[in-house]
Amino acid sequence: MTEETNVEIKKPILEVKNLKKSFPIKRGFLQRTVGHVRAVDDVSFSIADGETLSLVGESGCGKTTTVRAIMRAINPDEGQVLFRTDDDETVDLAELSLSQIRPLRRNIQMIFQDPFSSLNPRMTIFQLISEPLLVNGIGNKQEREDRVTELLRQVGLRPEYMQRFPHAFSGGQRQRIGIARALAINPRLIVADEPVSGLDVSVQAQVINLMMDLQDEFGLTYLFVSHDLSVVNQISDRVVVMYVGRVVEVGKPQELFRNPKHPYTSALISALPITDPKNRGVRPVLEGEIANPANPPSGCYFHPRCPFAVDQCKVEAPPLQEVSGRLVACHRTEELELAGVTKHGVAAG
Amino acid sequence: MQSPEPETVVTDEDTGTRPLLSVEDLQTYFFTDEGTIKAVDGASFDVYSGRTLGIVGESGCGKSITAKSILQIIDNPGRIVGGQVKLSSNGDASKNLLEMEPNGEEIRSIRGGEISMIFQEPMTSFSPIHTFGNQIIEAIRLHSPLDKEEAHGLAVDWLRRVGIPSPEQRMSEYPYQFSGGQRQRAMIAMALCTEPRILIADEPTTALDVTTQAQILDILQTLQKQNDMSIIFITHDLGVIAEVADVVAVMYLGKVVEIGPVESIFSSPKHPYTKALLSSMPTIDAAPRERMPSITGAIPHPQNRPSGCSFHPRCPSYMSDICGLREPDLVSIGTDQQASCFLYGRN
Ligand SMILES: Nc1ncnc2c1ncn2[C@@H]1O[C@H](COP(=O)(O)OP(=O)(O)OP(=O)(O)O)[C@@H](O)[C@H]1O
Ligand SMILES: Nc1ncnc2c1ncn2[C@@H]1O[C@H](COP(=O)(O)OP(=O)(O)OP(=O)(O)O)[C@@H](O)[C@H]1O
Ligand code: SF4
Ligand SMILES: [Mg+2]
Ligand SMILES: [Mg+2]
Repeated sequence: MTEETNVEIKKPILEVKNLKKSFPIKRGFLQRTVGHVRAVDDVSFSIADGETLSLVGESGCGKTTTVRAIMRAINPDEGQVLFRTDDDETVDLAELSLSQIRPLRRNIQMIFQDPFSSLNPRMTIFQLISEPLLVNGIGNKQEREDRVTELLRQVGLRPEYMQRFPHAFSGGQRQRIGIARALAINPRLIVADEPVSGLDVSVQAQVINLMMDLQDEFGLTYLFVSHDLSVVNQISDRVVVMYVGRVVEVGKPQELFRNPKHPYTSALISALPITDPKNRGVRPVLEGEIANPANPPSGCYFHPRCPFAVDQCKVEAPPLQEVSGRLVACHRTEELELAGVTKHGVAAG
Repeated sequence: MQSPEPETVVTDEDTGTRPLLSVEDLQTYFFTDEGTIKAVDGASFDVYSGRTLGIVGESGCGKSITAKSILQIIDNPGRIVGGQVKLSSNGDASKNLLEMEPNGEEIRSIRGGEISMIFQEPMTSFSPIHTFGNQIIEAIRLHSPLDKEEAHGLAVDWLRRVGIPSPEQRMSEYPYQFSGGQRQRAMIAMALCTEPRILIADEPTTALDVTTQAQILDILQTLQKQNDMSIIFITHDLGVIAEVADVVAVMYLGKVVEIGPVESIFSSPKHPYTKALLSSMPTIDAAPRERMPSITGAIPHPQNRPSGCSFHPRCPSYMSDICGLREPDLVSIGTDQQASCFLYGRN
């Protein structure tokens, strides 16, 4: 990880600025638009070269939408996605045309959540992994085969398996195939949306170790999406906590989880199961449901569930501001003492 | 699920009570074209009143099939081929559920009555063409003499208790109109509305956020205290087990390989598989960017069960003169813990 603070990343590989994306809600026979879901509502963060930045938050908070807008699988409504190219030039992926983006694509690859549906069942492992090479016109058949052999070894699979089809592999093995495919054309940035959520703990550990090893070896940068705070703690250099389409806190995992500065981060931590049966006890349960992004509350989106909300929180949206080397969006952050992770798991609050 | 003061596991000896449910040497096999899959191959455990038994293990180890076998709801080509499931009645006699006719009156009145189940896939346990309300009302009336109106009132009450907002209105909605978390809660309401003595909860919170999960664990805990309900809690999330279980059974390839009080399982696991499973659990207080200990090798395909101790190809303590040759039995270690591993005797 770089020595830079959370607040200012010098020469980021990717900088997302004020990204917004909403989806129309259509109803009735005429499919009239009756409202909008503000899936991503002003999100900003930057990623340094070689670091792992994670996006965390409850289901529906806009993690996948953020990632899809960065990859231009959907078009953002507003904002910039600044990517630093090999030639040290900065381009805005949000405003390029799809044909202008294509040559840049080889720098950014994606690993998907579901290793079962993301691999075409009719393609062999060789075809799957070499496809990005073929698409980008890299190498002849022999060279591609050599490259796939090398990649399979790197992700811990036997090259002999090359002619098999995905159904012959377990979930963890399929996820390795997905990783080999993402690595095929030497990308600099890998975007992984819940890559280990569907896997057993033991397999999860293998895949995470593999991702960290490959990062050390090839200097990869990861944008990692997960709702599992423990996994995020283990893999990240920095963490972005999202709530209903907005960023509420950004910081290093040790600092953020031990000493959260936003009430929502603290609430997420206190909802974690206590992993030591000796220390279980009564803990506060966050009341209420996650806010509806189609009809978000006024002011701070978290205020209806926040135990510390004051009148100001109901009317004024708190800006994301630097607070002792961290970014936090909360009016009361400076005066609050929030519970975080302790030695024995999680503090009772 | 949780006792106010830490205490050790309740056994026959120290309470004088019998287990409410006793599963003995359960065997459930699937007879497929490719061969026989021994999904459950000799699982045994006891469930006590007001207590939670946690069942953990990797995907495919037989947790769900064990649960479904208790209620005899195994789909073809599966068959329960051996064992006993004894449910003790209020009197003194106990009934072996496996002796009952699978579609008979007797077991049907136990399903959803004395023993309720929360299924792993909430979508498949609801009918898509009936409203939630009607489905819950029907479940209630199947097991109680309430009339329609009373059952309606009770159903609304339960939806409210599991935290579904405006329950009166949601009664007339269909499953697809609920979010994943709401569907899960509705299923919990449906399983609990008949006030079962035993709740089997198969991965009840796995699809949920930590915050929703915490709310649901809280609900189950409160109900357990109120009704002295027993819970069989199935999950592969060890963090959840640490929080809810009194006793933990660890399964590997269809067998219980270790069982004991939750504190002992976490503080001094005996079976190498339990140890490996615990150390591969990501924790939020671990130092970031540290390599995670992982179990080497993959879970074997259930059709190619390794000889001897089925964990031997992945086991760091493998002993070549015995582990691949003979199958270890569960042996007692200390007062209330049992594990099947030759490290603790070559029985
Ligand atoms: N194509 C779409 N049309 C309409 N609404 C959408 C669409 N895609 C996402 N949404 C909505 O946008 C919000 C954010 O969804 P998103 O998939 O980004 O969440 P997420 O944080 O990835 O959640 P999860 O953890 O469940 O994957 C949700 O309310 C979702 O219902
Ligand atoms: N209908 C079926 N036909 C054939 N085999 C089956 C069938 N249902 C289950 N099995 C097999 O029985 C074994 C045990 O399955 P079970 O569903 O109990 O696993 P589990 O421990 O609940 O796993 P998970 O954590 O993934 O839910 C698996 O190997 C599975 O492949
Ligand atoms: S701004 Fe107010 S409502 Fe929002 S998190 Fe801070 S204290 Fe709570
Ligand atoms: Mg998502
Ligand atoms: Mg299961």
